[in-house]
Amino acid sequence: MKNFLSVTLLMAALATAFVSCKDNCVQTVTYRGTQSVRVTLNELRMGIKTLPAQDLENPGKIYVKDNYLFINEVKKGIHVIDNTNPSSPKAISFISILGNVDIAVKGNILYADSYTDFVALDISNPNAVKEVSRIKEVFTNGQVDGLGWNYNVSDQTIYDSRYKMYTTTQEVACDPQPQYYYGLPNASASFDSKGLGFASSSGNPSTSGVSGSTARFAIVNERLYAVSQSEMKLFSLQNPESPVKDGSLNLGFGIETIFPYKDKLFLGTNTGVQIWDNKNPQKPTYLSRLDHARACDPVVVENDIAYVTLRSVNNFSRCGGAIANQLDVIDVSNAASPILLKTYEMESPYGLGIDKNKLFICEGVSGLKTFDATKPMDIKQLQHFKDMNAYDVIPLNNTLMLIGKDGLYQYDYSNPNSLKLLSKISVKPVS
Amino acid sequence: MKIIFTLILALVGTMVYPQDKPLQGSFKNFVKGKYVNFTDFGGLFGKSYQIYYNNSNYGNIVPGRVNFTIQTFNGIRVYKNLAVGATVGVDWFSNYQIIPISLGIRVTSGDSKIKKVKTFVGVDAGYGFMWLNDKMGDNQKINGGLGISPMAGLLIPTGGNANFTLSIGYKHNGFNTKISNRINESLYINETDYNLNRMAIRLGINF
Repeated sequence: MKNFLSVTLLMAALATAFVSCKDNCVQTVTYRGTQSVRVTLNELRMGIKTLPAQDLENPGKIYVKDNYLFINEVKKGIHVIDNTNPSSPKAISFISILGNVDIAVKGNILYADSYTDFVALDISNPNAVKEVSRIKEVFTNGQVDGLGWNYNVSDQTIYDSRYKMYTTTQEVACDPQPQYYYGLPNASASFDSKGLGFASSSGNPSTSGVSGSTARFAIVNERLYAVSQSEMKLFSLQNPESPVKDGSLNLGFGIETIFPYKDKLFLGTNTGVQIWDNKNPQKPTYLSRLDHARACDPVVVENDIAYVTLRSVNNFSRCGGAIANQLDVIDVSNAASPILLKTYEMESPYGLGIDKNKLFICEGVSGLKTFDATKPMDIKQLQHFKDMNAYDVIPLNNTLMLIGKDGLYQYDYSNPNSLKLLSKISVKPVS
Repeated sequence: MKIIFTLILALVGTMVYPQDKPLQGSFKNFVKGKYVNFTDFGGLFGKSYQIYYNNSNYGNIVPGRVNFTIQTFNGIRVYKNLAVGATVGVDWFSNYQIIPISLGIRVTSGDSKIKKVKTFVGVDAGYGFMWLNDKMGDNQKINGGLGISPMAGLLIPTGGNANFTLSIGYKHNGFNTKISNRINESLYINETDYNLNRMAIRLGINF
């Protein structure tokens, strides 16, 4: 009985103790948000430095000039690569240019944007790059990787932002809560300003290089065209060392890429393709446009056929809400009235490139696809490389240069049915 | 799921088998002398509490909860009143169900042949499996975790060879859910560690 009593007491004690048992649930949310960045004009003009070669971190557009390959490090500068032998490219140096996204090269002069400024650099010695001229405050805003920047004239400051990973930890009620998407302002971020490579079917290959991206910069003869969101700025390169800004055209909204072809300029906008006549390089005139649902759309042209990729991302802010992922083939033999020939289904096409009917399309996380485009009405897929995140290609002289989130790949495409990997420069692993 | 059912059937089978058929001598003796079963059901009682968010006066009240639990311990008497075995059960929480599979011990007091109210203590420790929860999307994962349950209670003779049990104890269930979304470059990971700490009051039978 004594025993029974003591156990009853024990149970009562336990009940008192356990009645205060409470659940404890801890939620850890990790997400990519943005952090604001301010750059004053003084900081911007601290000078352009040539640094020893560095690892790729967040590669942007690529550009080829002779044996050199230039890889933009988004908003930080340019990697200079000696690509004489594509099987073993050698990193030579890194040109530190704050706010740089676009590049173009003519002769020994490299033209680059640096947030608001347009700079010309002498790269005859890539180990000691010299700034030869700077046109100040040409650009007032821009957008890279889904992040926009603005220049505020009154306080002479550039307001930019960068991605940052945030982690929050807090106690929550243990019944699972409805899922809130904590601060996902950039859920839709994408590389809309990078993406397109094209072969040297235009310009003057002997003196200017080959652009490898949505290229907002294009050099045609003695003139450099730079497109921003709504404008095309013209720079005269009569004296290459001191370019002169000599004109600006209003283009409308959402201009993304420029592709010179013959005496035309093809502008990829997020509402369609615009074709401008460039017979008078001083003053291009509007010819025609082919509209489509709003989407991101780089364009390349070969043999009077324009290839346009449309990518729908969850990206209403930037590229519109088109729900198509496709390749449009457009007959532009009469530039005044382009005709849509055929549409092919795609997964999530970013950049594309074409060389002698060999068509290369970057599919973002789905990798790279190669096509035989001999017959525009019957484009056949040849190969699909899946294990890469590709967004930008330059096919040139049987070497395909491909830039993606994970680095630079080079392929030999002399046999279009079977691409051969020549080399890879990897992006520095995130520590 | 098949595995679970097989397991449960096997356990239930061992529980009911002795009543159906005459047994072979050695097995019968084993069951009589060594085999110990505790099968019970009850409630898991949680206290209401308040959560305050970091750096703010804002908080919210989480109401107290009661959840249902069943379990069965099957073991053998290894030393006098000490039995060692395995415990399988199901705990129904509102959004998740857990199957704890544990190693357990039970210690009873007094001589088992004497028909009077006796006491027992026990503890189960093991892993809670999340097999009963629906398969979620590829971007969602759910991992089981530690389950631990000490208890103390009374054995009340039924008149036959069995006892009714009434016990009070503590039950901890831990598990973890993870949702990761990647939209293009954007990333969102939501990881939640659940630690459910409850008072367990159970009724059952023992033989």
